[in-house]
Amino acid sequence: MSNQQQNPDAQDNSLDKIRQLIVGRDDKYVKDVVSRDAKVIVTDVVSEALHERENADGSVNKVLVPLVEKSLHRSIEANSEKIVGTLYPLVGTLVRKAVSSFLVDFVERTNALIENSFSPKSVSWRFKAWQSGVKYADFVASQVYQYQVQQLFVIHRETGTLLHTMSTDPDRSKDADLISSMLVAINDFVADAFQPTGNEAENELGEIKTGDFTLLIKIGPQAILVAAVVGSVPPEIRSKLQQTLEEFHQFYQKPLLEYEGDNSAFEGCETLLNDCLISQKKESEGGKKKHLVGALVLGAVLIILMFLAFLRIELSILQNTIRSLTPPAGIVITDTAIENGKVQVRMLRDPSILTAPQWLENEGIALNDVVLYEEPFVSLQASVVEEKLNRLLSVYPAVTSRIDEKNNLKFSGNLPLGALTQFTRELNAIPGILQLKPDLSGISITAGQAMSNKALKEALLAELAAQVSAVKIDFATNQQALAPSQTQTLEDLTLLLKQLQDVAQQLNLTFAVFVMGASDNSGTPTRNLELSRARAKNVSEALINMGINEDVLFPIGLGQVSLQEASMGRTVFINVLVSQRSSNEGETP
Amino acid sequence: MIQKKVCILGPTGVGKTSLVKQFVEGIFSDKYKTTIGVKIDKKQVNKDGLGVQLLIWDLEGIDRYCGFNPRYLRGATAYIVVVDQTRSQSLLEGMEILAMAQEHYPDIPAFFVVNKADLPSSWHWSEEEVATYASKFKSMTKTSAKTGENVEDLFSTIAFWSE
Repeated sequence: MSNQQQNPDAQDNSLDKIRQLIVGRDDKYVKDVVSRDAKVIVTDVVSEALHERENADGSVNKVLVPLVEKSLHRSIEANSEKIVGTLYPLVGTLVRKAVSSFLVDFVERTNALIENSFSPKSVSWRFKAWQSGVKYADFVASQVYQYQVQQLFVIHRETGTLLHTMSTDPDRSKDADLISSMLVAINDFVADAFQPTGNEAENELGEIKTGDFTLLIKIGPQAILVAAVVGSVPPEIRSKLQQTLEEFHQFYQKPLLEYEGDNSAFEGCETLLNDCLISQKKESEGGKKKHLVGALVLGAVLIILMFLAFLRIELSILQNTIRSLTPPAGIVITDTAIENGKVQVRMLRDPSILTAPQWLENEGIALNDVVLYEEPFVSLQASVVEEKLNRLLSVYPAVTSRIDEKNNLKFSGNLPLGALTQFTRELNAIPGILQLKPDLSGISITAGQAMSNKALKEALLAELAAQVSAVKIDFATNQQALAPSQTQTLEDLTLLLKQLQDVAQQLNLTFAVFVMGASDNSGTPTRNLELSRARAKNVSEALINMGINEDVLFPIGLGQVSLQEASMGRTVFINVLVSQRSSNEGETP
Repeated sequence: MIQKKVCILGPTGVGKTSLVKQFVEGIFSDKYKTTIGVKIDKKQVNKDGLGVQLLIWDLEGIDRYCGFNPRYLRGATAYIVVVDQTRSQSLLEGMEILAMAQEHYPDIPAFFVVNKADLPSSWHWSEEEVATYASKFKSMTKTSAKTGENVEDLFSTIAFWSE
């Protein structure tokens, strides 16, 4: 106990010694054991540990990124050829995609620019594009890009030997091997002459151009693809070549890497290269011929159209001439049109005047191209009425006419009674004669007749009375107003009544005109009576308006008249009653 | 058919172009050579029913003032260093050229040609000395571009050379 208390330091030392014996100095034994199995221990947990540490504070990434970058850099520096070879097909595709999307965008914008531009050339190109049914932009491209890939070379990059060639002209392939070697030599020469740093990958020929001839050179890791192009090189050829070269590398990777001068491995590459042997020629002879035929057809069509237009113009002129003519009295042109290569003229013509063909011939118009459609009508034009009157007078030479101071048409002369009656009837038959205010009182009945003048006049009076009594004016159902179609009847009636008045006066007779309105039996009797009265009244008023003395008119409403034919009842009858004047009246001063 | 690229190197005036002319009928005129420093010809060589097409790159004469473009050697199956046995200096220059070529392309077999064999040897090198230099090459051939001596053999040897 006392020992224990006395030597605490000695006890501590012995414990240390024991620990040293077990774990070794500075834990050496433990460290040895651990380091012996370190690989196994770390292997078991390394992934999980990295994962957990990264999740905890993200420090793994911080440490790894610079390391990876550094080692990648070193690796590329050391094995650049190898890495380029591996990445080449991949990068090529990526770049091509990016470039093509840029180009599409660019072309679209150029398209818009071109579309908006306006020059004589663009107009002619637009027309040609429309003619050949292609998009304008495509047509412009075809005009700009006219080319032919005449020959293709696939060259082994290392040795400069020709792997394969294709040509549009077989004779050209003869010295392709020398040409390809020469090309590689030139390429080496350029690389050497203009690139002192010796970084050959960055300084290789892409294109050799002289005038219209271009050598397009696409350089891959093991092979070079060269296209001899004549004409303007369109951008799609370059991408096509690039793509083909990449495909070539893919297909022939092994033979390319193991190449020792034997070309037999590349025999089948023609199908691959065929796509590049393209051309876009200017329009061929056939196209020209087609154009010639097109031009001829177009010309013929134009001539026919011009001929038709000429005919049409001629007809139009004829139509206008006819339209501008002033037709004679009795002809009214209602419509003109051009149909079936002729001018169609529709007209109304009073049959009493000269025929339409006569009139047109008088105007100097040939009738070959004119078709006439006539509708007869009665013209009330003064000149037509006069013409008709003159014709009548020519039949009755004994009668003359003149216009008196009151503007009445005064007839004078001598006629036998029969002839006078006939003349009166025919005169009254002339439509529109009333407007000339005819006065027959100047015609004397010739003495040669057996009858006295008074008797003759009495006979004339009776005749006129009979004619007046024969007049009837029809109405529509339940209508009391006069129809326009009845105007002529009323005018005729007025004329007869005036003549009657004249003759009656000469004979010192008096007369009464009964205007008898009637109605059919539709409707109530009261209404029908009213209607019949109104009809009679309207006719009377019309006659008064046309100059008939109101005192001689006696409108009467008959009410409904039940006749077999209903329409016969809707009318106004006229009846004349002639009587001697009473002595008182006659003697009244 | 197998194609092989063979380069011909050597000091100016040793008869490289004449050697090639003796072997092939030249197609390209010499003006190409002065433009870019190389002239290319081809010739088919047959042996035992096998054909090899040689593409012969005739490089411009090299002297101490201007080197040569080593790129031209790339991918070659073999190259020939030509010297002239009438000029002692040409052997030394030929050795310098060999050193340059081997520096860039140590794996390409080199062939030694002593040209102008139709003329009496007038250089001061002994046969032993020449043999010492020649040991650095795969083979040594004495040729005459003028008479054609050994020319066909030289190219045939190269065309069918295998180690």
